[in-house]
Parts: sequence; structure tokens; C-alpha cells
Amino acid sequence: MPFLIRQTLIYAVPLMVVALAGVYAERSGIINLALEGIMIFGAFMGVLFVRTVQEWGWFQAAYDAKNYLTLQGFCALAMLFAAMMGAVFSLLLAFAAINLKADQTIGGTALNLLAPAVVLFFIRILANQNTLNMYKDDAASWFMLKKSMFGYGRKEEMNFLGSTFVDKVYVATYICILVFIVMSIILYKTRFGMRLRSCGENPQASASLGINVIGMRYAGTVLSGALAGMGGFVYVLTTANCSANGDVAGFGFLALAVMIFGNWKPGNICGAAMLFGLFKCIAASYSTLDINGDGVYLLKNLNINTNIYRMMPYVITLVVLAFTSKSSRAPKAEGIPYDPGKR
Amino acid sequence: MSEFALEIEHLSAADRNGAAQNLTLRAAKGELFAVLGDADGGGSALFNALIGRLPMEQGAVYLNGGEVRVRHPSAARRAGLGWIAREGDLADEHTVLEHLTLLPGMGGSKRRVREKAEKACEEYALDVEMDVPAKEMTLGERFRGEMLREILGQADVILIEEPSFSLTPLEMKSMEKTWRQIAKQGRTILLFTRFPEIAMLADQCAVLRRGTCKDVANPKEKGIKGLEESMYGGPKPAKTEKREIAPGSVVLEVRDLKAKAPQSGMGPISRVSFEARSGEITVICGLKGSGKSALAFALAGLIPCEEGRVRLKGGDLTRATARERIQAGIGFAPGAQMQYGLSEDTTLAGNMALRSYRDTTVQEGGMLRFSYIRRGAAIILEKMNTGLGESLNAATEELKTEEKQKAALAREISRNPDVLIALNPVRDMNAWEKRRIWSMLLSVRSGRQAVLLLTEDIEEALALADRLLVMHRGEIVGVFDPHLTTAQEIGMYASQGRRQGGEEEYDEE
Repeated sequence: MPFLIRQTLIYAVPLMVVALAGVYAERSGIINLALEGIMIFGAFMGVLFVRTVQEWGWFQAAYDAKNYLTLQGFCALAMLFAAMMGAVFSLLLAFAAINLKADQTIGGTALNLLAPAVVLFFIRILANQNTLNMYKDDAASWFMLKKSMFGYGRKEEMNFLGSTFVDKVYVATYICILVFIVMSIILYKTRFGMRLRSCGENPQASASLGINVIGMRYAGTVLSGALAGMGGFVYVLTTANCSANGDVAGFGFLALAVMIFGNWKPGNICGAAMLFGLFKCIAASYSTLDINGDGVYLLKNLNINTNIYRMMPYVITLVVLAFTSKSSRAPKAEGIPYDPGKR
Repeated sequence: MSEFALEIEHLSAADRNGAAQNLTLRAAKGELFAVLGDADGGGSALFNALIGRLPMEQGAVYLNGGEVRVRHPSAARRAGLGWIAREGDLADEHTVLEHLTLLPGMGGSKRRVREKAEKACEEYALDVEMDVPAKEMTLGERFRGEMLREILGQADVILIEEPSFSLTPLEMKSMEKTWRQIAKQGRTILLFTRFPEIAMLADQCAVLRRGTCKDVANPKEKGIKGLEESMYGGPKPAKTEKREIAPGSVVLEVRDLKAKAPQSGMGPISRVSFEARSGEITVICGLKGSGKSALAFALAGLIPCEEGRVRLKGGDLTRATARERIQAGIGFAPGAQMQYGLSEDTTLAGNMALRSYRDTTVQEGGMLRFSYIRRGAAIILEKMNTGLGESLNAATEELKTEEKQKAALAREISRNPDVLIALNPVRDMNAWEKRRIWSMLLSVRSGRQAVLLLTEDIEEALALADRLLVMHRGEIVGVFDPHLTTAQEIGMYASQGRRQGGEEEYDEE
């Protein structure tokens, strides 16, 4: 059970953050279909940051001294860098959609095509292979929390809470949850958030209140890019051992589905992300999943074709969206370029 | 500091409906200033240019003596201009209070904003519903919400476009008190309107005709007649002549019809029953959002009829598709909301063939016959006296509003429908254009066919109706003889849902 919860969180949290990224853009009136591309780009940039800093040897001393707190700081820096790069990448979408009034769906799709191509291009140059790894060691030894850090021996077991939420988890996951909460509060409880949301509902009304619609839409898209970039990096850090290969397994699109299923509201998005995370976790680890701790791998013993489990998250997405997207309430003005002269 | 709150110097700007040409106007502080002009007078272009929705071609605007340049509405707000546009500027999902908290300089908690708002309501005799999402409010409530926004917005000059679009005559009376109170504080209000009656409320009135200022005067000295004369460049166009025709048999019969709202901003209908007779114009008059579009779309087969029955000359059409309805004899001119039922980037001739693309006069074996299409279109346009014979190959988007509507009506009328449904046919047209469109509708009536006219224009309703029905929130609330009723009475039923025979729903103000 601890394993299941832990793994679900690992998948659900990036999904949740990236879905919130989508909410930020759409609430400001821009459809951010480029979430996938921004995740890929952010993941690449984050890994590149970790790799380069390792190469310079900056945190080597902390690693050798087993100073885990400093290493977590390193991880947070990498997240910040990925967020910044995601924001920069999303400026492309913002410029196309806001200044050039381009079709946002096409702009987003273009970025989705651009990101893996650019990323793979640089990975080939940098690493001479299709995957960009850390410079040395692996993500687990540098960034993962382990029970040994808290004085538990090899044979000792932590209690339920400890083994679920402390042992073998990344602090990055919790930072993401914190960011999710803070950003949700900003979007729904502050004047800035309210201004931003009004631009997605009725930009003409916002302008009549003296709100700078173009500025707000830039803010929404850039914050969206930052969240998605960070989510992309956290995804590869926790599930792919901090290596980038120009792919995030469709998580960006899954996040869009989560956002729609969650009806553009943080609470619902959180729930939806957990559901998808659970299925994603089952898909990834059904063969070693021991749900009630009796040593029986139930799902594996069911003898169902393994592809069924792998398909589950995507099939669920289809089914859920087919039933819920009709009642969903998207921001009214999303996808419509702001033109002060039009009504 | 200048004694004028707002000075407009040599301003030119053009939009779809009209242009302001080299306009120079000055409004003093604490003045209620009216800008009166017909639909093509240039008032809406001036309004939109002032608030930054429309680029100015030339000219300058001074606010309290200092020049302001606005490229965006948000910049106009920050420069000290406030406005209420005809269509309104409230986001449907948000309450008035939420809008107020977003005003520049309106810091503090919601409670503080509410206190301020309540105080202002009291001071300015304004009754505002603050906690209901705008989509659930009536036009008048929305207008008062926006008025409150302007009062708290601290703008020195407040522009108001066509208040009568949102306010009934009764509401207008109490709103006048609010305006006076605002003016007393030294703030200036500009009323942009096409009704001399509303211009009469002002201290000064500038009359626009075809984009130029014809007159600036005190409306009380000039009187309604004088204002009309400057506005139309002569006496007001005569009332439309209607021949007496004995009504024929019932053509269209609608019983307890129910349909959903086709789009946001439009209302649903429930339990709508009426009949339309040949040789009669049946008018259904209702405010924006009252369900006229839903009714028209349901009758034309564009949205499903959920309950009830629709019969045309005895044949049941309730479940019929749009094409079956056309074949059965329903003609539909959807008005500006659907680009008059014309495809903007098709030529006029092509548009004229859109209804009849299956006929062999237009196609042969699936291939279109363009020479036939052009010839057919020319004949239709000629027969209806539209004066559009020269424009056959013109792209439809280049045509003027009136020309589009004429073409659309000509196309429908040429197919000899048993009933012609027209939805807001003269929106944004000037007095003469309106009369030309009306004469086309009257020609259908003379041809002993039925016309169903759905409109929010009370003047149009009274001018054309043989039988006048008023719609309110998706229901018919009254049936009137147009000779025995007044615009005030119709307005009251349309805005408050006062029901004939039952006074209890009437909300006395």
C-alpha cells in the first residue's frame, strides 16, 4: 500500500501541476495546447542544468559529505531553472497568440512538434546519443529521500506514514504540491488572479475596468509555461531517473484532459490527477504491485494481457472526457484573440 | 485647467455603421451632454474612438485641458474616461461586486468595497443587485450595475451609449435622477442616442448627421421637433403606409413550443403559443435575451423543438428538418446575428442561389451552372427593386448592412414562402433604410402571405404589426392591437413581464 500511494503521487503530482498550468493560460483566455512541448523543453533544460552543474563539480562536496539538505537545494534550483526556461519557451506561444493573433490551437501544436525536435537535436550534440543523463551517479542517490537519512538501519522499517511519505520519495514532489496550493490561491483568492480570470471570461469587460488584457494574457501564458516546465522536469526526475529524451509520454495531453475533467478548478483537478495517477501507476508497475502486503502480486496473477494495463490511463481519459466534457464550463473567451474593436 | 471636461478636436473615425468626420465638440464640467444622431450619424464611431475601441484617423481629445491618447480601452479607463457601451461590459459569470473590486484604485477587502458601493447606491438613488452573476440579471439591472461601476470609478467623463437599449421608460426616469446627482458633483455625462426623447434630458445636445455635427443647442429650447429636423435634415420620415387587407386563414400554428437557448446571451422559450395568418404581419416583440432567437431558430429547424407542436397550413412540422421546412414553405431571414443568412466570402449571386442549390435551374448533375445562377440572381434582385443588380459579382462582405438585408429578404421572398420569419431585420439601420426594409416586408403581406417579425425595436413593432405579441423570459405575456396600445405599454410588458389579465406579477416601482 505505501508503494502504491507513493507511486501514485509520483505520477499524479506533475500531472496536477501541469493541469494547473493549463488552467492559468486558459483562464487568461489562451488555449495552451503546447503543454506537452513545454514539458519536454522544461525537462530537457532541467536535466541539462543538473548535468552541467555536476560537471562543474559545484555540489560534489555536499554529495560526498552526505549533506542532503544542500542537495535538495540543488534540486530546487534545477526546478526553478526548468520553470524559467518553460516560461521563455511559452513566450513563443504568447507572442503568436496575443500579438500576431494566430490560431492558438495551431500555435500550440507547432510548439508540440518543435519541442521534441529541438530537444533531440541538442541531446544528440551534447550526449551523442538519444538520451541526456546526469553527468554522474543517478537521481536516486543525489535527490531521493531515504530512511537511512533519518537514522533507520537497513533492516529497520519506518512506520506507515514514514514509509509512505518519507522513504524513497523526492522532495520535489512536495515542492510541487506546495506550488500547486500557492498558485491556486493566487488564481482564486487574489486581485491579480481575479483580473486574470476576468480576461478569460470577457476581455472587453476587463478592459473597461482598466485591466491591461494583453499584459494579463502574457502573465497567464508565461506562468503557465513556468508551471509546465517545472512539471516536465519533476516528471523526468521522479520517473525517468533524471534523464531527458524528448518525450514525456503524453503527460502534457493527459494534463489537458485532467484540466477539462477537473472543470478548470484546482480542487477537482487535484482529484482528477489522483485518478489518472493511480491508473498510470498501475500501468507502470502492475507486475510488482502488492496492494495489501500479503506478498501476492494480484494484478499480475490475473493473467490479463499486459497491454490492457498500459492502455488503462488513456482509455480512462477517453471515457471520462466523453462523459464529462459536455457539462464542462470552459472560460468563455478562451481561444479568441483579443481585439479591442470587436465585441 | 480648462473649463471643459472633454474637448474633441477635428476627430475622424469610421466603423461599419458610420463615420465621424472632422468632429469638434466640447462638453463643460458638470454637464449632461447628449450626442444625437441616427444609426449612420457617426455617434457609435465617435463613442468607440473615444474609448479606444476604434483607431482615430485624425484629431485630438482633451480631458480637463490635457491631451489624452488612447489606443486601448484599458488605457482610456486609466486616462479618466468611463463608459457604458450599448451591449454592456459585464462578464456573465461575475457579480457586480466582483467587477467593482477590480476597479483601479479600489483596494481593500470585499467588505470594504461593498460598504463603499452601498453608500454610493444610497447617495445616487441607485438600486443595484450586487451578488448575482451578470448572466442572471435583466438588461436594466446590468445597466445599473455598470452605472455603479462608473460612479465608483472616479472617471471625470462618463460616456453612455444608447441607454434606452437597456432601460425602460420608467427605469430611465429614475436613472435621470442618478445622472443629475453625478453631474452635480462636477462630473460630465455624454449620452449617445438616436432618440430625441432621450436627448431632451440633457443640458446641451449635439446633433450629428452623416458624421458631421449639424447643431449644438439646448434641447429644451429647441424641442423634439427641432432636434428631429436637425437629425434628419428635414422632417422625420413619414410613417410607413399600410394598406388595409382583410386577414386570411391561419398559416402557421404554434402550440406550447419549448426550446433551449441557441447560444449564450440568448434566452430559452417555454409554452409559446400563437398563430400567424396570411396577409398579416404578426410581430413578436421582446428585449434582448427574451427568447426571440430561440423561437425563430426552432421554427426554422435550426434547433430542436423540445415540446409542443408547429403546424404549417395543417401539416405537422414539429420534427421536420430545416430543409423540409423550407420545402414546406417557411422562409427565414435571420438578421445581423447570423450575417443575414449570407456567406460573407461568396459573391452576391452565389448567395442568392444558396436556398435553391438543388433545383435544376442552378445545377445539372451536381455541377453548378454559374451563368444560370447569375441570371437568376439578377432577376430576383431586379424584381424586388433592391438596386443591387450591379453588385452581382461583389463579395458579400463588401456590401452595406442594408444591402445585405435586402438581398437576404429578396432571396426568401422570391421563393414565395407561406410564412416569412424575419429576426431583427432593421438593427443598426437609419430611418430611411428601415423604411425601405419595411416596405419589402409589407410587400409580402400584400402578396397574401404571412409574415412573422421578431424584433426588439418597439417602433418597428408598432409600425408594422397587424397583431402584436410581447415576449418576456421565453413566454408570450400579452397580445395587443397595435392601434390601441402605446410604446410605453409595450415596453412595460416586455421588460417586467406584466401579464395581461393578472396584475400580481407587475412590479410597481
